[in-house]
Amino acid sequence: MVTFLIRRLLFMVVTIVFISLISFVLIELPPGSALDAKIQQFRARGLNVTSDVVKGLEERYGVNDPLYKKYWKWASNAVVGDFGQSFFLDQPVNTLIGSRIWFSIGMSTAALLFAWCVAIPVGVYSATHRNTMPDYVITVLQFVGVAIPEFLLAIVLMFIASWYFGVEVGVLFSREYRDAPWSLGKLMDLLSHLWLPVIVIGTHSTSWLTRVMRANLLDVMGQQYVQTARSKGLGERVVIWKHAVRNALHPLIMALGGTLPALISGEVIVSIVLNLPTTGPLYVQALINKDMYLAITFLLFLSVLLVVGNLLADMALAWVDPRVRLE
Amino acid sequence: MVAMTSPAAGTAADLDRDNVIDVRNLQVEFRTSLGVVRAVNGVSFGVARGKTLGIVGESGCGKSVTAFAIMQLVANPGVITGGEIVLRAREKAPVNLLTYDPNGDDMRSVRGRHVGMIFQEPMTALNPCYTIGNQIAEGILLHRTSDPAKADAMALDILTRVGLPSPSRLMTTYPHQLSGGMRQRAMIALALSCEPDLLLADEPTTALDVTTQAQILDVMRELQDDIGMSIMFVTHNLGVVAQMCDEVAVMYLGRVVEQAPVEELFDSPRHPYTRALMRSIPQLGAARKGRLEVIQGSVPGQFTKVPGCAFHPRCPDMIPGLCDVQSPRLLAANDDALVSCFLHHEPDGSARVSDVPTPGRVSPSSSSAIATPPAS
Repeated sequence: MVTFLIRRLLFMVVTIVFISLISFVLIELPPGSALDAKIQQFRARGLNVTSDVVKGLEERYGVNDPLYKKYWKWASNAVVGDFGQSFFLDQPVNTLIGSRIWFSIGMSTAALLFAWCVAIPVGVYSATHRNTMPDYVITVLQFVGVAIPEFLLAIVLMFIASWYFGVEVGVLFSREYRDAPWSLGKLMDLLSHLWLPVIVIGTHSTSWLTRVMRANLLDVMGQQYVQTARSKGLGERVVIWKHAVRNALHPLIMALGGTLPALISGEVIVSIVLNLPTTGPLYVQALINKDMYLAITFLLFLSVLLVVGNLLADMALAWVDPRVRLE
Repeated sequence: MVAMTSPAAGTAADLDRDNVIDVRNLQVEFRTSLGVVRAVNGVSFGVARGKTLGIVGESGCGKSVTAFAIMQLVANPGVITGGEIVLRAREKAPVNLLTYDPNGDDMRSVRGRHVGMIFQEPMTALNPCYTIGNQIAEGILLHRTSDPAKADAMALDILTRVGLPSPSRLMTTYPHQLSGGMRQRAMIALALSCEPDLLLADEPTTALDVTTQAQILDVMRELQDDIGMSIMFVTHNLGVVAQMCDEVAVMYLGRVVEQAPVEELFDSPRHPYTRALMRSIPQLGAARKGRLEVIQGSVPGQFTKVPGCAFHPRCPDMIPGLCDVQSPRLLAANDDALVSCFLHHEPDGSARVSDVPTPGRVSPSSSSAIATPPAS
């Protein structure tokens, strides 16, 4: 198991290096640079930007350096934790992302937990009450949940929350806590605002995972070992939760690796619609402005999350199913 | 069915002996969207204490469904619609299991404790997520002790008794690490861990190779003597029946057509279906001269209802006007055999006196349908 983990971690590093290379090239592909936008900004303010100044700036920022040189410059610093400077916002990338990434991770994790906590019991109920009225209702809701676009759901829920429940939307904290230091009150306040985006982000994967859970459990319930468990005299509850569900969880766990990026892309859209201070809106802005160090750092963080998610999924699978354990 | 109360009328239950289980007129239906399938249509038989009853018949004749019905574990959309299943366990008053709620505590206390079950596919019968020890101890914890350490010791003991090598290591082994034969032994250990009165074996050797099959049968016989249990052995392998069983019940289309001690069944089969089955067994050296016998026709579709005796469309000895109109009942043919056929009983239940004329389909030497054993 330990060798397996070490090997996986090494592969992870290789994967991330590859991803960073590819994303670096991709971001560099469109013509122009962040400097152009900056110069436009200066000119708009009436500053006289001569070609000498432009040349000086280009040299200082190494805009015309060959790609490998730029990449090396960024990567060698990134390894020690310095991800460079945002051209556009004039702040270190570290501070820009550091303040937001935890909200993103927290929100995605919460959405994931929400999806699992709803999908498993509902899927089990749906499978054990197959072809009954509640099962049909759940099925219809699942299809709606899978089909509805996230931004639409965000708008509808936002409307309902503010119109009918008087909840302040578009923020993560109430006014009195916004600049206050962390406390239990602030945390509770955060949670009271977090449910809306979590539901919006989690709805799609919840519906989908419920469907997967139902199909798998139906499959497993037809297996011989479920009959074996019943023939021992076990109660139906033990038969289902101990013997059937555990065997039906595989695809859910394997989906974990793919669910994380889906949640994060959902989070981008939802945060823009709900105007939340997470990484999503900043990331989109960075891509539009060709703010390359900011953009690539985001990409890198997202791929790290994806790779870590996959590793966690593999480990969880080994924990649930002895057949995939490596001796 | 012809409802008649004749003193000669009877089922295996009325043979004068001590039965662990008596199944009387059991009916199981599968209500599918295409129609109702009567998988088990009035099955009656009994399993004598400490003995082995083989249940044989074609695929789809209701053998396995009958076994599952005893456990009240017929899978959806199957429903037990009638009959009775009387269990006479050692530490329990006789009871008709069908009076129990299939999901109730009473029925669950019978499963595993008084009636154990093993299945055809050892590869899939054990849960891949739990160790062998865990799965065996689970049943013991339910029925025999609440002390986990004691349960483990009992599980280890039964694993030793089924002849598995290094049983203590097996306790922490997962099913996928074992071979098919070992898994079937583990499954037998699981089913016998609470020393049941009756073991339902649903084709337990079908998926195993012949050598392993023989070993598994040996283990079952040994433990049968040890524990003093009865076995209901569902199979379509007549060779295994001859080796393993004391008695045989032959099923056709959801009914028992004949029940008899094993030698009697092989030597002088009474029912035309049994006779046809015996003739269609390939025999070493005997088959050179012609084609292997087959039973004419095919099994009627599952949704069709055959009037009269279910076998009459394929029966070489069919009596027109009787077999295609009335259903024969399972009646005593002698002290320890039963048959359901108008060749042996008049419709009123009295024994048919005259010898039955048999067309030249049975081996030429047989002059009487009943007495002569087939050349072997």
